[in-house]
Amino acid sequence: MDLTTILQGLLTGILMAGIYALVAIGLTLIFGVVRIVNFAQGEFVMIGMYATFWLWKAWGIDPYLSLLITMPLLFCFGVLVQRFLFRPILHAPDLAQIFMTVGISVVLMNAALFFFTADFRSVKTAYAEWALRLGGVTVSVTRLFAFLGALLLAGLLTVFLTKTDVGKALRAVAQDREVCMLLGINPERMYLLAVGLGAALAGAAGSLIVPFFYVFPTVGVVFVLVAFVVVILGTLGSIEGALLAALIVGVAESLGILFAGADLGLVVVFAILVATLILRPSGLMGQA
Amino acid sequence: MKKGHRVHSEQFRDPVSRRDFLKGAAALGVGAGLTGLPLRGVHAAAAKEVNIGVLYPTSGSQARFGQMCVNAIKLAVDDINNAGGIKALGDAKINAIYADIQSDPGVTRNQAERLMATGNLAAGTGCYVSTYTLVATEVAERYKIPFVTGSVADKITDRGFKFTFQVSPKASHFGEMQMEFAAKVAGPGKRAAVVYEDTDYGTATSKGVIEGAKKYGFEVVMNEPYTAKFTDATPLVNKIKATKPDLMFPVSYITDALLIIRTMKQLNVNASVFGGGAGYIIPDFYKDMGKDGEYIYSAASWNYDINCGEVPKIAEAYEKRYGEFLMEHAGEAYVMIWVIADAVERAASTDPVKVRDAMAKTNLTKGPGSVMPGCHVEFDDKGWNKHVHPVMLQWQKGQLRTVFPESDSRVKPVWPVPDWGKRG
Amino acid sequence: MSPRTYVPAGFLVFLLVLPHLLPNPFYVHIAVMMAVFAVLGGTWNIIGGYGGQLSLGHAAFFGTGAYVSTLLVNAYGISPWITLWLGGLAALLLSVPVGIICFRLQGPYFAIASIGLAEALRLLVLHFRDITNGAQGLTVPFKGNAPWLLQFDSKFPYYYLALVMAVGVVLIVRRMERSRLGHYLVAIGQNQDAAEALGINSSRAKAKALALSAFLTGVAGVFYAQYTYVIHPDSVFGLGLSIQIALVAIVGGVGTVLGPVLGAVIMEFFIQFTQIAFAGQYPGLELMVYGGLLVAVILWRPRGVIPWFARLYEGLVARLPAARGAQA
Repeated sequence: MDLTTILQGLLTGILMAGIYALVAIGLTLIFGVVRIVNFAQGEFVMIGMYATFWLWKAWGIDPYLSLLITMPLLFCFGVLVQRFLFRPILHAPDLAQIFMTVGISVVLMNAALFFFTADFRSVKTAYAEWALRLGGVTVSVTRLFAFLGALLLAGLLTVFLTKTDVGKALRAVAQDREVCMLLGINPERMYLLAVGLGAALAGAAGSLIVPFFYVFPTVGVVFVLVAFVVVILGTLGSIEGALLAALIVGVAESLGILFAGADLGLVVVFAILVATLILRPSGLMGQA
Repeated sequence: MKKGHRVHSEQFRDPVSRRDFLKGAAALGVGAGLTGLPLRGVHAAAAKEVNIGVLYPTSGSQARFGQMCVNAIKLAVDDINNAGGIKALGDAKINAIYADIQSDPGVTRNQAERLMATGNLAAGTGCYVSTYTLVATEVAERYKIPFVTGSVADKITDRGFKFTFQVSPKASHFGEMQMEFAAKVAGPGKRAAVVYEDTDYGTATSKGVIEGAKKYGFEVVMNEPYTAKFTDATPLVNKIKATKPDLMFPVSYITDALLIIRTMKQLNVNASVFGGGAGYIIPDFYKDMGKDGEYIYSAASWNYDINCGEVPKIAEAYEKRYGEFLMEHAGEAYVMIWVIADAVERAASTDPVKVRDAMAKTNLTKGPGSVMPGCHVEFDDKGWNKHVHPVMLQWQKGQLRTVFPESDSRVKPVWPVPDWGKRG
Repeated sequence: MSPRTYVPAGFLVFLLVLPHLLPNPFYVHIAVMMAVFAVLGGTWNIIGGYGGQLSLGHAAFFGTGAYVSTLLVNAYGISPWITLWLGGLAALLLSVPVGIICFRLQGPYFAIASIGLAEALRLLVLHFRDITNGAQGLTVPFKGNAPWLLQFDSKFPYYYLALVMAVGVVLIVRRMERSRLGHYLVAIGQNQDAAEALGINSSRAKAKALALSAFLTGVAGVFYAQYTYVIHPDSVFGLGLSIQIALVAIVGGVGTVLGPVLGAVIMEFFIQFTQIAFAGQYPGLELMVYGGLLVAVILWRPRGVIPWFARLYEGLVARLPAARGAQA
């Protein structure tokens, strides 16, 4: 295997990591604040993708522009989910919470199938085929944009969480909700915000993915399993962790396909999960 | 933080009021009554009806293919009924009973049990994916109901079941045919890369491809399964590119077929593509690829332009009704309904055992029930249509055309295949 | 004789004659599936309910049992009556490394880890196609009616076998609940640190529970392979199956003996209802309704349906007269 092939593999992995990071950050945010593991996160991405597709189909809106619509849309959706579905089970056993989100996932996936059929949709843009060629290595422009977009959103989120009052309140609730109540922070509102943001990020991921991938009802499943591994490796609740972990997982998957076998990419990812759980269960950013 | 852990003794606390008890009993009663619901869908074999069980996946991962097959079956049922139905039974109408097997073997088992136990079937058909077909045919064998399929796994007929009939070629034949054709157009000694989706169909046919490659003197530079659920074909195509192939033999589903070809163009891998059916021969493929899909080959078990009787008429009727061309397995589904109707006609009965005996003697060379490649449907003693063989297709000017063997094709193949960017 | 004795006894008699009362084999098939899921839910409950370890990867044990048995039957012609135990044993052995990796984890970590491990196993089974036949699946050799090979034309023997397994699991769980292991598990579930402070070896208790659960799940897997005759990595190792298994226990009532039985009946009923009422007409509608029902159950009865049912039962029993003769 020559160097160019390996470099290409590396690059592909890094680019993919951006998307994984975006999905994972939404997951980790929701868990950090509301303490619910959202198995329906992949379906939030799917909704974002369908929204992007229909906006393009009906009004010719470019997918990257539709970010401005899909993000608020998914934000509202997340708020509704928190208010009506998560709130009643905030103090229910772990089992019930997990199964609530599993149920939501099943409903959303099949609602998409029912309303939109199983057909694979795609968006045709002028720039879909563009690629940068650097030496022997090719970089797809749409994937590059997705990567940059993910970084940008992650950066904005971090700024929001560290520099704004609301953001700091959110982090405070994640740390200790009882104390927050004493300090006059309304945890209910923070929960709504957290789930809304988590969903919005998933929606953004959807819009960024559409230019280079296909839209179909079960598309969320593809991303969510890897996102879980990223979240655990990066420590549940940590955004920087999710970014770093996404990079590791993305590259590992890509190189795994190259070296282990094209059908073993996910096995490599799960091997990382197992290794993390054995060696450092609290994740990269956690206390060992 | 441990939440709500159930302790056994807590449950049996409050006495129940009379009202609660009655409410509960009523709920149970309604629930039990609803289980009577399964009787819906039971059709007594009215003198004027022939029940055929149709088991295809119309939801789940295979939904796209299953739905196309069901569409074709609806057309066939209408065609038969409009032509007068089953004359030997007093113009009895075909009544297709549809069940969605949800792209899942467990559901296939369940729906097969349900239809065969309660549907009063004369015959059954399905299931697109070979694994599901294996499940359904085993149930059919125990219920003694003839089951006709277009699935391809060798095992389906290897078992020697009495109630299983397969109209399509066997999986092991596809590879041989592909390689024979490739050797013919490309010449010997070329480098061949074989990649296949890690699914039933991909695994089954890839074996034949590798054997065929060796038989016809190709150098197999890559032989690798891949996971269809990838989000980026670049790692896979990257690997393919590194082996510098002349010819590529991918067996793919829908999105991976599209992604692989697109990425091949992006990474400038100019190997000629001989797809393994499925994702390469559905309307979605060309609709999405456009010019870049030109000249791509694929193996198939049937096509809408094979050189057999009224195939063009059937294809036209389907396209008129559903707005897209009649694809491989859907065409076979259409044929199978006619095969069943022919057997029922000769048996002059809806008794499944009698239909089975008549079906074993099927010998169709004319009519819609005969239009498989080879134009002759006749089952051997293991239930396989011994005259059928796979065909090679090619996208030409946006149309999917049969190009090999000559006996089945109406046009010639285009070779050599131009490089990316020079197509269309 | 008190109603507390004769009602369950009567019910058992009813179960014994049930197949003969059902109008056709399809209903017997439903009953078999209910029994199988009662077994699966009940054994999951040992580690998931009592042990408080939410496993979403139990399909790994199920699939292991199914594959080990079917491979042995195909390769060496061993009778499935024997491979029934071998499959269970294989699953039990698998549970050891799983436990070692996962038991240090709490709550959602454990769940996610279990998903990852089961998925990895599924992918590996798919990958090593020379041994497992990969994505083409395995079939049990079809022998028609062959009782000594655990194969029957009629559904009745399958039903009785499944019934025996289901009753067996119920008795095992009841026994375990009252045993030392059961009490240890509940203690660990309430507060692992406190339990350890009292001298309970939580790792050993959890490992025992998981081993038992895995063994029984593996046995169920072998039965399933013999009953459905075709096994495939996606169906017997699938995430969907793992979720269904846990679901049975949750809908019924985790940490209870009869909860999973009830859950199996309810769940299978809903599956049948949605498949029949909407079969083939509207893709996606069935599962959408099913998912909606799941959400509704979680919202309405997050602790399972068994408390409600139990109250109903108590009410019934309170109204029934004691039978003359022996005292309760």
